[in-house]
Amino acid sequence: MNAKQWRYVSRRISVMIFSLLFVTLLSFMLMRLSPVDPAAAYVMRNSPIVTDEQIAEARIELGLDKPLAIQYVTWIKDALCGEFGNSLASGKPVLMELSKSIPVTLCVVAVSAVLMIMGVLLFGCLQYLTRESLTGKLLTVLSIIGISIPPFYLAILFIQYFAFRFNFISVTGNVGLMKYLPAALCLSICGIAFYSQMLAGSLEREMNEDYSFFARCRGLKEERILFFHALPHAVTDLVPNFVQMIGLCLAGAAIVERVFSLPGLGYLIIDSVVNRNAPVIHASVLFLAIMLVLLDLAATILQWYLRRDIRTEEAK
Amino acid sequence: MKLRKIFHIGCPIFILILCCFGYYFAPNDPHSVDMANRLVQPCLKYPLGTDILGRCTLSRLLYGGKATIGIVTLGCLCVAVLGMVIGLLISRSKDKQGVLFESVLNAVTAIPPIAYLIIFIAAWGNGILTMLVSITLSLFLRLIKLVKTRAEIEMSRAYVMCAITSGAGRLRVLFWHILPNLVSDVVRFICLSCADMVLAIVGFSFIGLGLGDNVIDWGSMVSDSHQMMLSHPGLTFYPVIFIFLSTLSFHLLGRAASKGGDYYA
Repeated sequence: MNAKQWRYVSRRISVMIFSLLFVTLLSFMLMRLSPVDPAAAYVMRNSPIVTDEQIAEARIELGLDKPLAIQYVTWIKDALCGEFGNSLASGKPVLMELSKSIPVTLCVVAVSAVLMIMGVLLFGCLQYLTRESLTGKLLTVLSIIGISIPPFYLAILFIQYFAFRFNFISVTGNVGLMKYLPAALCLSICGIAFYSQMLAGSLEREMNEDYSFFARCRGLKEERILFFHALPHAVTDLVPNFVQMIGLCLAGAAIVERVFSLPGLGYLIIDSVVNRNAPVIHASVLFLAIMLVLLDLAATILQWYLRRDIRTEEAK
Repeated sequence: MKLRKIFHIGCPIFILILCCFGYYFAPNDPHSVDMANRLVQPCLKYPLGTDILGRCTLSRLLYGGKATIGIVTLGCLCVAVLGMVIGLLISRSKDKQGVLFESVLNAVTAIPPIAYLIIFIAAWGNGILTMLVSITLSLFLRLIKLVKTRAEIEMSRAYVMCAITSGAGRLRVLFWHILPNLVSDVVRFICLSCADMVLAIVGFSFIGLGLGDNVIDWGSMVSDSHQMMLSHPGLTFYPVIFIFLSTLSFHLLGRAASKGGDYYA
């Protein structure tokens, strides 16, 4: 790595840190602008009768009497030490609740990413091969339907038909992969539909490039050109975009997790929204942002490694 | 060919307008509870039957689109106009300020819009205003970034050079020469994000973080009725059809826009 590359990397990292700061600051400021007073909500949850003194006490106890800037700086300082306070609902440390829920979300998203990769490669190539025939048209229509259908509907359909009608899976008590597979499947349909279209388009472009023409002139079979020459190029175009899409899944998983009652990060956030549980909200928003930003960084790095033209432009 | 093109663009727009303003044609009051007629089959008074509280399903469906599609289209129209103007205006600054601004933009857009939706719901609770503000804010910055990158590419094209040498001013180059080349990209982006946002809003209202207590929307209709999916499939199916049609129309519009861009190129 030379000086230019170091400068590029350091700029990316500073952008990343800024993005985390921005998100946490946003969640703090919005909390302050919120119509519901967190102190009042806290008192209301813990005792049946609410007095003004109790609210004032709770405000001091939760540190809400200090100015917002000081609250924010204190929170950042604590967060850097890994100290996020206690959950207002359960009284347990926030970090413990997060460490239970983050692996669940990561598992769901990882399984759905694997499903998506397999599905996209399969359907993308299939769509390219059948692009002129009726099957190809049918696949296009199917993929448009796949993008437009709401994932939660797929989820309830899945539960209704596979679990209730046919007893194919059980709704609760699954262990291992089966626990995450239904949610991951519902989550991945949309991605498969979207990216198989893009892959097919990309393949069509690559098959008209000069190198494929050269390969044809050498007498290689169409299939060999498709799978060994065009496919790697097409995939490298899509990979950075796809990694960002995984980040999107991470946030979108909240809804599907809720339908399948998986205690993931999205579930935790929504639970704490309902309970106005400020420490958990701030911490889980931070962790969500960390994961998103890391994926974004991964996408940038991948793009940088895979595509030589960008690299040479940066070096100039 | 021309007729087909009109059909491709007109059909989605017609569906969206129907979703948005369909409540003018609602046969009954969507809020009125008729306990004597719970879960009735379709009849003359209730064309699609009634739900568990005896409310007219068709009226609720027609009212349901008002809030969701209204929020999304209103937010996105503001975003499209403002984002395009601001994105074009800042695309020229190449000094230190520009680098700083670009880093800020990169940092903010590293978080996808649906995550902003979650953050806003987390902090503000659910409601129409929350959805509107979060959609507008997150898409606005994304669009500025898109317009800025695209405008910078256009800036190096030959026709811009020609325009400048024939004496066109800075604003004329930006808004007269470059803007028309960006329109199809912007429309495509807006349409695709609209579709995503409809799905996100409906999804959140399905899991109970809806648009408010008295607002009718498709997601909460599905969540009210999905327990009875096997006995009364229609109650779940109709709202989903409407959700599906509206996202489908946004997607089709997006496709039409990107195809329209290809004709120009």
